[in-house]
Amino acid sequence: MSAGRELDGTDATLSYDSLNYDPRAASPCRPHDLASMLEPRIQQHFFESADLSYQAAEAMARPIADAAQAIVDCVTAGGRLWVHGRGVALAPAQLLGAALSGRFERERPGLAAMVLAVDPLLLSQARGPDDEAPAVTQLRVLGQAGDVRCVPTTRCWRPSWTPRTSAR
Amino acid sequence: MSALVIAGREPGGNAARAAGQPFMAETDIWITVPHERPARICELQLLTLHALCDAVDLQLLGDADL
Repeated sequence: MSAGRELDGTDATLSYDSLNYDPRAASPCRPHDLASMLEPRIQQHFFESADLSYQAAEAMARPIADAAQAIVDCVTAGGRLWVHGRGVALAPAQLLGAALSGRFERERPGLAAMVLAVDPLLLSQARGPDDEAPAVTQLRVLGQAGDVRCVPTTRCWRPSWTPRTSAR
Repeated sequence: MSALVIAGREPGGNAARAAGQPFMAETDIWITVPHERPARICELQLLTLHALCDAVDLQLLGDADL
């Protein structure tokens, strides 16, 4: 068989028949069985998420209001906001940085916010003392008293995330 | 410098906080998502950030019809 024939779309060897492949026969479950099995589990995510949102609304409203007040107090006093998140928390960190320095829903002057250490070069090379995380090193160098650091994380707070600094 | 932490709940995490973690200062703000599952924490985190940004806008610009 020539190379030209293989690339030709009409070549019978490229059909499902010639491969003896039937997606429906190959699947251990028939499509509608699989869907009926998965749907309750998928719905469970929505229910669980909605339940958690509903339950957390009251408990989380006060700290979020305090956080908004702290951010406004910081920027109106000339301070800066340093946002950092690692791993999966990088996405919310970048979202927060963009929403504060750019805009959220309404046009307003940008706030002095910056997302720390997302550059792969920094992440691989800029190691501070005692294997300090790059963002913490940046914070130690750039941060000043009166600034606020915003740290979204899916885990609990770690002592190592606090820069050894007198800025506090 | 004060810290604003949006964290999840880990087994023992809240207990450690109640016992007084020396690395958290009085001025720090801790927003805890009351769940252990990372997927749920991520979802609530996003919701929290949207609420936070809206609250900041409200404080800076006042109420307005969207």
